Amino acid sequence: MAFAEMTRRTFTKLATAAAAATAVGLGVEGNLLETEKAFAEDEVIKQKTFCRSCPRACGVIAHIKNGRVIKLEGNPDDIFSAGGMCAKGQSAIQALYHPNRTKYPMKRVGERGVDNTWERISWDEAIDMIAKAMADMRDKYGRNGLLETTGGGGNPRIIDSIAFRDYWGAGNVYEPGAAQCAMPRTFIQKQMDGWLGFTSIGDQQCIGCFNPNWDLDVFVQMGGGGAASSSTITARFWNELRDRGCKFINVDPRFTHDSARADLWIPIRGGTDVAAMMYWINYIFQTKSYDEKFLKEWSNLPFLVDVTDESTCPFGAGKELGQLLRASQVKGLDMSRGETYVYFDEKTGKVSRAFAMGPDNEKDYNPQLFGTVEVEYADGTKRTCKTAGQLLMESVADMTLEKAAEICWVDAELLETAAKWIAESTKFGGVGNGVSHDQNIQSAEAAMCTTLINQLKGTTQQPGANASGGRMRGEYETGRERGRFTYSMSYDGRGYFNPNVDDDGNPRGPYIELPAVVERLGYIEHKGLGDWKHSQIPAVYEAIMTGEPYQPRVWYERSGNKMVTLADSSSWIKAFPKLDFISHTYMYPTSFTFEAADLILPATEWLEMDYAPGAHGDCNGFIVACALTYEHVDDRLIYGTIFKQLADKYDDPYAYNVYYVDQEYYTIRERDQYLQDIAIKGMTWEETKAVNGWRNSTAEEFWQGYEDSLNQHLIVDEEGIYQGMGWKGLDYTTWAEDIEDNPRKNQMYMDRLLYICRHGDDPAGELPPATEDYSTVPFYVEPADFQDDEIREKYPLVISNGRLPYFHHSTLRNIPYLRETYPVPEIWISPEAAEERGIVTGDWVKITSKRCEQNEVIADGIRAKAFVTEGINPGCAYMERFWNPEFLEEGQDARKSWTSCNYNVLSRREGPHNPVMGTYNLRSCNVQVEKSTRPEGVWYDATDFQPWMPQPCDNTEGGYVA
Amino acid sequence: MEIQWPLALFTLLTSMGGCLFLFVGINEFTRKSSVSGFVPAIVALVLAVVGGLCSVAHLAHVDRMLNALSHPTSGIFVEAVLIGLLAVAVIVYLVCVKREIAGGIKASAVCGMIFGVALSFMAGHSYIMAAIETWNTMLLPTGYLLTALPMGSSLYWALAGREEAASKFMGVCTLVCGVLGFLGAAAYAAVAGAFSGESMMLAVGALVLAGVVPAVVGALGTKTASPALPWVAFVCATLGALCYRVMMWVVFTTPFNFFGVM
Amino acid sequence: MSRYALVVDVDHCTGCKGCEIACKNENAIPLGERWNRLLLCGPYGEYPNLQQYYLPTHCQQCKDAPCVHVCPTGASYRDPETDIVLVDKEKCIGCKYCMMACPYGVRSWNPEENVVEKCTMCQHLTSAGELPHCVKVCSVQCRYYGDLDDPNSDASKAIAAKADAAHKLRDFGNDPSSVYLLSSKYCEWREGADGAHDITQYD
Repeated sequence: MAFAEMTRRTFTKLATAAAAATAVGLGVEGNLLETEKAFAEDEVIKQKTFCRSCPRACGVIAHIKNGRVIKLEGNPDDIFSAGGMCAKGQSAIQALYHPNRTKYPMKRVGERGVDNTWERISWDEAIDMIAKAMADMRDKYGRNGLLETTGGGGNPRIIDSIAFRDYWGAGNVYEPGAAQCAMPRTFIQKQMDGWLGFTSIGDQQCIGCFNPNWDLDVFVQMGGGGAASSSTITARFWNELRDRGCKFINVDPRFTHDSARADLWIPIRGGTDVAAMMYWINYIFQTKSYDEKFLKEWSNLPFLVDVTDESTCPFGAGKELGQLLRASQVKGLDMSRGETYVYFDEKTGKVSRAFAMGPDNEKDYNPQLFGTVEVEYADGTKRTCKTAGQLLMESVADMTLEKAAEICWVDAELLETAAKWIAESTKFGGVGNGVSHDQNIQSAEAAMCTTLINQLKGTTQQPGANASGGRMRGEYETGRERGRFTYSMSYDGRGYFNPNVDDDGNPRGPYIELPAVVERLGYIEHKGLGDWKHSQIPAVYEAIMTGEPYQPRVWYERSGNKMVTLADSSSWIKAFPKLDFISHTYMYPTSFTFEAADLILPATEWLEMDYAPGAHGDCNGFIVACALTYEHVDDRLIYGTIFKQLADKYDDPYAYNVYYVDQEYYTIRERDQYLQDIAIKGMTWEETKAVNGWRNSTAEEFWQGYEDSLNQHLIVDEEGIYQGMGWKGLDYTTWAEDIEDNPRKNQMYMDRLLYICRHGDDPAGELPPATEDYSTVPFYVEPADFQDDEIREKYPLVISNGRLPYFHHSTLRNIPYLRETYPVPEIWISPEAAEERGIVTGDWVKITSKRCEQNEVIADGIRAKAFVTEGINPGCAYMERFWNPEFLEEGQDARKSWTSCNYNVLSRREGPHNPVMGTYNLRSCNVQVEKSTRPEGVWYDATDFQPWMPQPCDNTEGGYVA
Repeated sequence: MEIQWPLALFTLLTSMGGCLFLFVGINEFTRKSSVSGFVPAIVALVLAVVGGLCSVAHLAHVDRMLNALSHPTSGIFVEAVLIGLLAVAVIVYLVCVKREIAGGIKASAVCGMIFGVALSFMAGHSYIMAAIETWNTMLLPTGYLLTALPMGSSLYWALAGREEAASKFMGVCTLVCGVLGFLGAAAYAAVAGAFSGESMMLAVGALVLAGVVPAVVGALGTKTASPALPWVAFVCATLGALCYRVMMWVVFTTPFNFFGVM
Repeated sequence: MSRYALVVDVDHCTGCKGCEIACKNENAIPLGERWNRLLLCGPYGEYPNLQQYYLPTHCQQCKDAPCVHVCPTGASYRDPETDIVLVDKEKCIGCKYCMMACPYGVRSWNPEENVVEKCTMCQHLTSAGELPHCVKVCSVQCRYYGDLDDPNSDASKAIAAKADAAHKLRDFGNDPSSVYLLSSKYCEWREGADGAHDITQYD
């Protein structure tokens, strides 16, 4: 309440953008139109909505008085947040009324990265600038010069970027996280597990293990997957799981709350997670503590590997890691049911067709799990083939305890104890992976290992397993907005996003087609990127710099601060001049705006947004605009407006189709129509808002849903066959596309991945193969910097990041209350490392990496405050990402906003990259730390942040009014 | 915690006035000096009032100052009451002196002496707080009183004790007060650990200026009657008493300072 | 008599600072001032055998509150109805004696209004039957509010459930009411909160 009583400050000089607008004669007040008040004076409205300060989307009740949001509280009906709201969510009011918000479209006056002067323009002019740049590019060079970028911070509808590119017909999309972060773990896990699951605790969807009805005995948190790196809401469930007596193994270079509460803290060197997990897998094999029955019945490990298929994979067993043998390759097998895999039946003593089991035939399936088998190939040649299980076992055999401990920089005893606990566990809760260990070139293998350990313990479709999940039931049928904004993750078996067919599969368009997909940068080499239809960032960078294979020219960026989230970000300032036109859509100007943008569009904060977030927890509903300030517009309506302009003025046939024929979009003038379309059926949007945030069930019912979802693989279908794992039409696809008679197994030997490597799995069609085959089993390589002796010598500390509970990605560094409590980034170093360098807690230090030798603007490294602590592996350091919006204030050197305290100027984009995902080393880079001084101009004292205290503004409706 | 100068001056001036009046009162009984107590009493009154006003400078809300009389357990209330009582006693004394009411003079002098000494003591007593280890000792207010005595004796000496007999007597008094000031400052400084770190110079200053110098000057005063002597003693004693009061703020430690604002 | 207080289960507190930010927003606390501050105690021990806990600090609602005792104006007072220690800002003359007297340093100076402030346990909400905002929004539900003299209050029940783990900050004769729940298996309770520090704010 007290917020409403705060003194309303006059609009003093605003930062950068707004200040410059004043300079060109448009007073800020010019935007503050008197509007007709649609509310009863002084009445407090309590509007249910959902937070978008992070992906968790907790239920929120916003208190609105006289058109302003004055207070936020959690919605107790959300069984996950249970009325909780974290520091980020609580900060949404300060974000909403931030004085530096971009208030209307503006175009640059002057030079990128030099002048920070902007001129206010109308929405029509702004949209026309984008459309014209796209049309000019199309006419001179073709469509593939479009580059779209987005990201998890700042609540964009990230799938819209992909849809926009696909409807445009060509071009590239990336997010700085994605291939470095969530995409590898989501992609790999669903290739392997035949049922809906999610090992990604970092994304708050790994919830099966939280079921209070499940009595688990061991849980492993990998990669900083605990409260420190995840949503704070999730942390409650870790606490409760521990309270129920579950043993916790926490693997993280830094000592966090979860480490402190764990039964075992294993502070491995960042980026060595795969070595630790390969040792555990090895231990499980050596001690035969895997679930043999499960592996035989429900995994593809008994299937034979084709010894004639020499893999070109450069890792591990290399050429041995070929595809699984197909039935058609074996002499004398019945092919009437089509292609399938083969196994050796111990009872019949024959190499046989694999088949999907049912109650009537399961006794006939007695596969050999390990070892070798003599196979007579179709050409009559006899060859010795290994089982997939044998190859998997061999692939981890040399990762001994000693070797793993040496790699991970931890006592062998810790790794061994963990191995024993996992091996002896009878109610295994699984390995949950978080953010840290993914952000390294072993992203795919890390996800592979976590899933393998879970599967070796037989957890798929069992209590506690991550690979099981309840389903939400909707109480209301909601309307359907125009467009097919389904998740475009193409490999998940839940349907492709193919813009060229409608919901019923009828052809239309055409929009994006095979040639444009094939030329997607980095895609053919790293086909895992197809999961989100992304391009590989290093390949995009190379294309911009060299024009090869073609030049990206028009960049539409919809997120926060790429200077803070891209690896080796200072190298990007050389790339910006190569682009003809760059626009930036965000809530406020960032370092990227200054360095790159020609045009700024104001985006909505979540408290201004109307949007269906999808169900999280047990609350369904829409994010509802609780306030409308300035001219901010939901970004998906901006896309529609661009298409309409392209259709109307620039004769673009694709845009004409998408806007007029297929009617996929709304313009910013059609918001009312949009709201009416998404409303609950039979209700107006106003009525929908009144019931927003509804529950489906009690917590008990919700968790019972999980209970009921177990053992679905044993449900018998119409054909009398178990649904099994990876049954087509349900959940995930775990077999290669050439398999016609699917035996419905989990994929532990990644035959499907190899198939994708060679053929792709894209709605557009068959793709050319990657240069080298992907590995079908895990292997270990060192992080990229660590492979270089010279770098290790000069930059001895291995640095890790993590998330902080007060910020999400690059967001919220301009929130006064948050900066007051976390004013500058801290870097954790051990007492040993500190003593060597003469550093004590509280000292400002300078951090450098190899990148400082390569980029002049960061030659002097970055600064952070030292926290000398026992709670870090002595060879490692930890530092959170950061930037300093204070340097965007008038009269400051805007470049310093991202060169002062920004870790990601030190990280590495340069290869080697992950073969499957194209991942680079965002973390686990090598750095040096030395004592330094406070960087001038960085705000630190609490009162420094006073200029950012909220300055409420009345609704202008500018953006939505025709 | 930062040095609270208004409070240091408040306790310095009020106790200076209080102890000055102590010697005015003593003279009413010993009659060592034939000089009227009128002028020193006025000075004592002025010091008490000015001291009291100094405390106001410490308050962030002077407008609400009178609220301070609403809560009798607080040190500020006691101090305010004592200043008032001292002022009343001194005024009564002044009236009686003017009107030559002998009984009234003695009675008001006794009251003023008690209030003056009590005020000097209580000004320090207010700081006794269980949470502040370096303050939580009766030696703190004792030191407040004892370091105030040399100021009182030397100031009375300078203002009204310059006749030969009186001067010798005040020399003895100042010698005794110097010794007491030394002991008072030394005892508290030792207990509060003030003889090291930032507070060391202040502790030494308090001992020397409020103890050694007045004692030595007092001893000299028993032999010679230089008019400079009492003023030397007074200036040093005042600086010494100030050192003591400032030292108290420097040795301030709170067991927990979670918000880091002290 | 009633004894309302906050109880924090620090076994569960993850150090997210949600309570700090909730408090500042709910009470519109100026920059530089806090009524609630989250500190980290530890890590104690030697790598890799370490222990730690987070310590949210706030007015401890002392039974024999030194702040009330020293206040010259009665601005620091006990609410006659609930016996909660509060500050009547209208009466405060800004002498700061209460800040000196508070053993825990959990009172704050409001430079805009020139008065002393502190945690009110959101009396404006509790008097309307709601919970203090920090208790309500705590992500891990580790904060409890209630009357410790009432065995049926949330706070009393939380303590009863972990009686062996109930601790208070060091008592200087002021008899603090706030309770922290910390199990010995996780960390030894440091009555003196030794080494407690705020993250990134070391000076």
